[in-house]
Amino acid sequence: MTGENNLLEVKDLKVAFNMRQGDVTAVNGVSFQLQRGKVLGVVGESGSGKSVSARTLLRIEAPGKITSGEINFCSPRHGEVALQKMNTTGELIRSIRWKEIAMIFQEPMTSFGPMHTFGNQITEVLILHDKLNKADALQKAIESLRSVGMPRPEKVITQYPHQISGGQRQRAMIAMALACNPEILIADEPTTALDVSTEAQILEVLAERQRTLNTSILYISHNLGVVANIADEVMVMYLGKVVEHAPVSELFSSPKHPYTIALLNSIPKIDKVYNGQRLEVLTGCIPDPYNHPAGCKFHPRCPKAMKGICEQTEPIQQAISDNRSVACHLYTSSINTNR
Amino acid sequence: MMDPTKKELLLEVNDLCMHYSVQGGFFDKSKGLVKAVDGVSFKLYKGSAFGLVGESGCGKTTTGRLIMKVMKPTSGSITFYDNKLGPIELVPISNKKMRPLRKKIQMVFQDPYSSLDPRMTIQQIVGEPLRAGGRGELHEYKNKIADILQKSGLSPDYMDRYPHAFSGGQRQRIGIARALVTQPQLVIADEPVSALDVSVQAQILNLLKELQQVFDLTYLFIAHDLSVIRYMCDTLAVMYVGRIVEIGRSEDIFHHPAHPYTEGLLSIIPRTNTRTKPGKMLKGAIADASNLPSGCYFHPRCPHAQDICKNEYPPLRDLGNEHQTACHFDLKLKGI
Repeated sequence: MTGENNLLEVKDLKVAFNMRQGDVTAVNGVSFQLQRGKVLGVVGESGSGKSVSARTLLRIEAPGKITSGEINFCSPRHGEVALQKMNTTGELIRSIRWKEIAMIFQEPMTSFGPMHTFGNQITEVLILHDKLNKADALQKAIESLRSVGMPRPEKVITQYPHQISGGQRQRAMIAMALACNPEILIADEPTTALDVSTEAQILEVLAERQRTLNTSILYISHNLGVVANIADEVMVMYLGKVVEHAPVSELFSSPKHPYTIALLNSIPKIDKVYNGQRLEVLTGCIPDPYNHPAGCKFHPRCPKAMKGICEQTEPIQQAISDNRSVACHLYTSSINTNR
Repeated sequence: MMDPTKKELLLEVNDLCMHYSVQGGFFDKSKGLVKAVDGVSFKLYKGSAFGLVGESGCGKTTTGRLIMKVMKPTSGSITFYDNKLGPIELVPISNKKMRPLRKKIQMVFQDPYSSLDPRMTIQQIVGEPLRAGGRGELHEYKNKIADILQKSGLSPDYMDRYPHAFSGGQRQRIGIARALVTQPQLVIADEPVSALDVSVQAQILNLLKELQQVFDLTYLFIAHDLSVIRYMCDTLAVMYVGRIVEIGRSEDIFHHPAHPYTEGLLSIIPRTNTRTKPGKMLKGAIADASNLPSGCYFHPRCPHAQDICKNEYPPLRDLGNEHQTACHFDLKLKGI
């Protein structure tokens, strides 16, 4: 149940896409909780279902369909609501979108309409949700832009998306997402298309927002370094499932799931001298979405796969301490005692 | 790692400039000159990997494209030391004379989706440089194509498939096979892994390193990711608004960055072991190339800027061990 600190609770969420070649379950039984004022990082390769999970929270998962599971959101205005039951075009979800749960999309280039000025696009949400008049909305849009470190916001609101750089556009996107002071901010790879220096600045803006206004952030990224910097907790996803969930420092200091370990090992480290040494590589690639392996979905790539176990039964996510869980047979007590 | 005692030059870039004139008016830009590449010089030795790093707009891609002769530089020279023909000055020669040299300088592109023609089979894509450079027909090259595909980690059985049938990592392998099929001496890799997933990135980086040894390749490696550069390159140059601000061996630059910009870039890299200290952040954005600051281009963002930085652009100066920096101050002496 959601409550004082639990703003959002996702239980066994499954989202499927009905494709010509067959059904694809992009999100396959994901559960997590988002606490007030915390940052939950979601990590995984492309195709792991991280973006679909996030979009489902806003109910913009179409053409995907929720096949089972619950999304309970503790709305400040509507009380506890079950998002999965909502009509995706209904009044209720529309009043929650952007006002209570906002999203920063990955591509700042394509997520703004090219035919409208930033002023128009940002004031639109303010006029719609906060019922402001045009002049007040414009004022608030300027403030919002300033709060994310946009230089000359008075000028930017008269400009069109093509007139400013990618980094600035992403700032404008954040300003727009934060304009209505949402409870939850979903950031789907917000810095992937940006330079490292801009990335650091954007991360600082988000961290500051979380500190000062206690906004909860669901931060999706494939960049482990970025997640290590911003998140309080991290959820590692593989093929639509959560394979490991842990507080950030524990995940990076002692990863448990072989997939997490392999991911961490495969990134070149800036502080390491390589001297001709090779990177440890995660062999193979993400399997065909129409044809998932049986048993543990990671077993064909897993260096620690156990014969007779991993390809037979799928491990379930189990708590290994108060705040960590992992879905791997290596940590399943019943099997360990059998061996 | 190469043996420093028998360094053989492969490419020498001297005072390379690419200036564009801005017509102005339409997009609210002031009229003037954009110096995309402004006096860049470096040397590439055989068997080495040289990295070019910087933020977008620093001129690293333009430098690579100038060497490929995609466009003609405003001034400067590019000398290619061919193993048979000796030194060749690339800037003045005609496109026709450049043709046989194209086999020797090849490129790997950033985006594996847009850099492969969707209507050509893998065999056609990989065979294209051979066909364009020689007189033969595609089927004569079949063995060569199969061989390079194998070495790039792809099964030759897939030769008749089209690019859409492959994943991003596999497509990048095809792009690499296409670059290597003519047995080039120099490969320019422009952000070859930045569009790929982390696990695939490692596979491609390892492949590039492996192939470097197999074919004795020299890489010009363009990237914005310093950790990738550190893994791949033995020497590197850091560029800022068209100029090299620091150049030297990887280990020197990563251990003792001499330019505040390099220091800033290094400090903001998100690491998995520590949290970034916000105080060390690189502030502001890259300078506008059409409206450059006076003096050192970096001074508006530099935490150590003094009066001299506002007035004079610092020349590259030697720090020994082939390490050069364009900064008025010595970071180490200042105890910074």
